[in-house]
Amino acid sequence: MTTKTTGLRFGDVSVGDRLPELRRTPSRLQLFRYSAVTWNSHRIHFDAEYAASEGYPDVLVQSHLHGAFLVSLCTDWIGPTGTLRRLEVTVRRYAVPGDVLVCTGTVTGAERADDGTGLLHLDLTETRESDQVRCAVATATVALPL
Amino acid sequence: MAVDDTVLEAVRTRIGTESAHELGTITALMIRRYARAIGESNPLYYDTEFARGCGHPDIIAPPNLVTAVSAWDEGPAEDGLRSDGVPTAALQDLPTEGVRVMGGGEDIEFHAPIPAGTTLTERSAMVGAELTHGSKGPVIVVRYRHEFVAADGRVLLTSTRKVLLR
Repeated sequence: MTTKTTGLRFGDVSVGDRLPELRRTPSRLQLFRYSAVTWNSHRIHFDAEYAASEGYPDVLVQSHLHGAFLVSLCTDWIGPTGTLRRLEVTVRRYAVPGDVLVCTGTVTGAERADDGTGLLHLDLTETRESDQVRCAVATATVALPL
Repeated sequence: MAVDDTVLEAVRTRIGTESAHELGTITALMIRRYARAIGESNPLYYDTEFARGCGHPDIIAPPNLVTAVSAWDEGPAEDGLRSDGVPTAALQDLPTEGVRVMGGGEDIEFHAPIPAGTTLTERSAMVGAELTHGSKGPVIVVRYRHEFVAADGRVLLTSTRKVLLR
């Protein structure tokens, strides 16, 4: 594989910049495989009849999968030489298979760190496209080479 | 059953009790499968040579892999699961009957990447529990701190997780 091993640099970014949007449409199959690989046996993620008994229209996207989408938003942007240092995520509303989830982010702060990297602080949002409900919100910090 | 001060006090008796579990080794296959399941194609998760070119000893785990895994062992037989599918043993600190349990968010600090071949121990403790009133009634917010520690003692990842009881 001949993929580039360089990525974004601290000087390339300014406060107020927006991250390239990332869209994910989790499928029932994705939820099944995510539960399998994380050994998550909660019925709410694979048993639609059970999910209905709790008042939901379908099985629910796992909270950590919401988090994984927001992680990908950051790591796609920073590239392989950047690192994610922190992610604080809250899942506010549920999502079900077929929902188009749009992940966006904005740079809210920038500072030089003692370890010779540049730190960027980000606000992140995962929004369901159909009704603009915010399913997850997060803040993150990434480190980039100077 | 709605949660109340009695349930809160029962939960709070567990605050500060630490436990440690050996999780085993994060394998390359585990990393690649997790990456596949989240829809990732990033070569850091699949291509050893690419990862080495970026300064890692091998492919690395997607950042939230280790906190996403619900069980690191085989887990209980089906009769050890609640009717909602959650292992009864996983709720040893919490009331298991009549209370809905759900995730409420997580604050993760990534101190260093976790490459394939890393053997981890998880140190966990309940660090707080509060009763609040949400739009659907009373909620107990329980906070846990988890540290994922390499064999050489380095803490690679720290997570503070909220669990909601309703």
